[in-house]
Amino acid sequence: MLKDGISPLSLSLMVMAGWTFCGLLGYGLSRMSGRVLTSVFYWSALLGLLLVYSGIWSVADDRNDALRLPLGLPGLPFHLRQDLLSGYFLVVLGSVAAAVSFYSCGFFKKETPRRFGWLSLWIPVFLAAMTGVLVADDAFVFLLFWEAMALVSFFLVITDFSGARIREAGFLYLLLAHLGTSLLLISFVLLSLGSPKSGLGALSFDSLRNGSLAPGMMIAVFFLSLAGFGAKAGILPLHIWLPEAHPAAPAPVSALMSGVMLKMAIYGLVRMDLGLLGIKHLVPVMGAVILVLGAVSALFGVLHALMQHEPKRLLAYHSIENIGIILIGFGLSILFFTTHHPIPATIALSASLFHTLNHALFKSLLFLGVGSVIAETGSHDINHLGGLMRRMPYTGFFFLIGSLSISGLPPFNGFVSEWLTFQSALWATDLGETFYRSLVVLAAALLALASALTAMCFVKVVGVSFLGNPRGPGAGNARETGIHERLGMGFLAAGCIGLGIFPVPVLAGIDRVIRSVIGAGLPIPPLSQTWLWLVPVSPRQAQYSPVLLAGSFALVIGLTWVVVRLFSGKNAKGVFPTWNSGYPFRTARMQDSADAFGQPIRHFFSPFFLIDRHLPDPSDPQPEYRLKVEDPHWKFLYRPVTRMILFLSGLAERLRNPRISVYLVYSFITLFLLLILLR
Amino acid sequence: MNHPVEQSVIQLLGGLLLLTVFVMLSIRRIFTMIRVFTVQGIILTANAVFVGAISGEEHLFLLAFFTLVLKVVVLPVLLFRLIHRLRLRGDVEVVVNVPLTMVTGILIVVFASSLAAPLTMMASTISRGLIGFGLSTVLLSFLVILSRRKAITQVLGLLSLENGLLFSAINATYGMPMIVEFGVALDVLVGTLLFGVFFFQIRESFENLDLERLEKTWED
Repeated sequence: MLKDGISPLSLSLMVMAGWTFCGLLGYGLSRMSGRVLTSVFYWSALLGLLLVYSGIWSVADDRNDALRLPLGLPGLPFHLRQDLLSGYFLVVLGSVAAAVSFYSCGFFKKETPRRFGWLSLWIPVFLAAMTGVLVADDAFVFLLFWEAMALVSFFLVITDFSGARIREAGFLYLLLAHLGTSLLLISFVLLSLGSPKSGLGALSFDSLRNGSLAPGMMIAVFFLSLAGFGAKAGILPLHIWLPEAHPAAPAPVSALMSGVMLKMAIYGLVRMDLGLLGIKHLVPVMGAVILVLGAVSALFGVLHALMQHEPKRLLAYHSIENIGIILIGFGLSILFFTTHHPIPATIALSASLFHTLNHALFKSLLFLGVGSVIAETGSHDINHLGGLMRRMPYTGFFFLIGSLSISGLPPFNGFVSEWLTFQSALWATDLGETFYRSLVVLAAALLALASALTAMCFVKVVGVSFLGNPRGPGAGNARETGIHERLGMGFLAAGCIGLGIFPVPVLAGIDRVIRSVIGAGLPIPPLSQTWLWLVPVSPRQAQYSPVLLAGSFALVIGLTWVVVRLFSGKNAKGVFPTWNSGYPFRTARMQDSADAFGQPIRHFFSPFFLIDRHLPDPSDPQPEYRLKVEDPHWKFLYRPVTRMILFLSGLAERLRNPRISVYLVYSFITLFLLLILLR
Repeated sequence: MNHPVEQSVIQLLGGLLLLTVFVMLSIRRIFTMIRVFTVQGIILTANAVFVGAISGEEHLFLLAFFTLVLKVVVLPVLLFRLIHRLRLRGDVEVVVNVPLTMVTGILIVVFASSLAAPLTMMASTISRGLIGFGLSTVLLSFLVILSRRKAITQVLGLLSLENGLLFSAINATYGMPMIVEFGVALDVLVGTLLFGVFFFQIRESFENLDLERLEKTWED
């Protein structure tokens, strides 16, 4: 092997450089030759696989490689480090990057050279920036790549910048990204106040880790970083950019943003709270806050997802929901760690990390599937689709696998992580305080509700768009996507099934990651597993064998098929139009629509929505039915804030004067006063 | 501190710098103003050389060289050419109430000196007594910008302000880190080039470099 002269870190850096080179090459070649050279994305996919290898290498060999590059600020060279936590997230990044890049080989074939040049430049650079975030080992490098990631993804969101709605979405995204970054900057600087070194050297993660801060300061750092990373992850009040930005971007970009970029925020949270602040400085309240935010995000996300009929927007709301599920696990683990229950804490943390990987796989799969559907049918509304399962069988099949995974059904991967979260929530009785106990139980109940509603939502998506009859000409004339798209989605679908049936090796890896993050000080139970049974604590409490379950599923389905074939022969198979339901005639418009699926939920949970509905009068000759469901955060949080800012700037406007010399006098007086004050 | 002659020369340079700014405050001809700016550059160069010679800080010589090239050769040449192309040769500017600005200037020098006193105590350089002069130059240059109506003289005030900053930096801490100096020097150069472009644009649009017309347009 190459292992002698090369470390996982240097491999990751090479991948980073390779991606940057790919981007420049793709841009330069497509602009110069005026042709669309999708082969750049083959290389990008290969680099993604290399990154997966690098990450697995780090986790499997317990590698902790550090490097200092003589770049950057004076007194603060670039600190880079790839430890097990970075390695794990590199696997997440690499696997999605490989699949999405391969998908892009086919998906971008029909682009104009100009647009392709733009995409082929920014997508690999986006991947490189995210790699940089993961291997950063000081606050400066971290924020540098974090900001690069935000800017590049902004460029990707506004790919079709001629549309006003897309520019607005891009602006909203950029605004929240910058808000988050500034909060992160403040929290890093506050954290560095307690570090043993002085000057810029205090910003390296090593010295931040060994710092000592007053408890009040710790709490400030924690909440600032939670808000900062929350703006990127889409935690509840800061989620509004997600449903706007994801539909604006092309499908592979949405897949990367939702599948991977949101996970960078999760990485940041884990790194900040467990790595830099340190588990011994945390208090149970912090865990409870994350738990509540996670539970509320999960429920809110799925409820709004049910209301959507634009598939990408729907998936964006599901991202909010899944980030909520990840945070429920993370919050539980902090709550249990700080109350000295390491066993459920470890289970919760591994559930959270595992769900991170799972969500990356199935969400990017779903986005890619939706992208193919939109590209083939030309419709952004699932109410215009229908009957695609017959016309796009591969896409439909892969989308179905993604839907089953996100709904948390066994034997797919989403089930494993959600089941582990429940397993740890069952330890709620061990918590001393009644308040926390009831909180955990409530969060678990909300999680159960959210996953059931997710299943309902995907029954809606699959049922309306893939089953039934076409509701429009776009869906009727749809064709299967190309081979690259199918392979890219197939890779992710195989990942969903594979991780669902064989979760144990991954969980063993996650176990090592947790050990490296938490340190040896805490007694962590060995997640002693065989390949067959997944046993979180002890076989008496709970165990789950995905292999046996999948086997019995296959057996039942196979037996049923055989029995039906044997006993009823060919007569049992009657061919009728889909969903005819015994009517003498039917039209495509008689099928259930997406809004019809969401109606009961809209009715039950009406306080969560702002509904603007117009029902036509029965005698109206030209009936019009109009329904608009809006996110209440706009009305109750963002618009008042906007109004306040406009009011304040209106006050400041009075100072404005058209004369330049007046401005000069202003600055002169300010300078004078400052000099007098600060002398 | 065994360099009495050099120390007095440095003191003299500080005094001369202050004098040049007062000249700038009272002068009417744009052409002469650029010459005064050139003299400021020479004073700065000499200051850097002397301080470098006494303290033994070698990078000050490099700084002196760059100051000489940029502020005594490149920028004046750029500005002269600009004036030539804008046909401002011999242009006279109306300066309001010279005595009043001079008195204000004197008050500002007193204020700056009192402000610099604690800094002088803290600094450990041999030429620390001159921080007050540098600070006065900065504030007086601001006054130059305030009291002028034409864009080009305001830019000259800005350049003079930067000179004052450099002078303070050399005398307070033997100059900023080299990378900062380079950055500032580049900014000044690029800034002057950009201002040149702006002058042309302003004149094209308003047929005059006087900013009063620009302000009138804003009011509408």
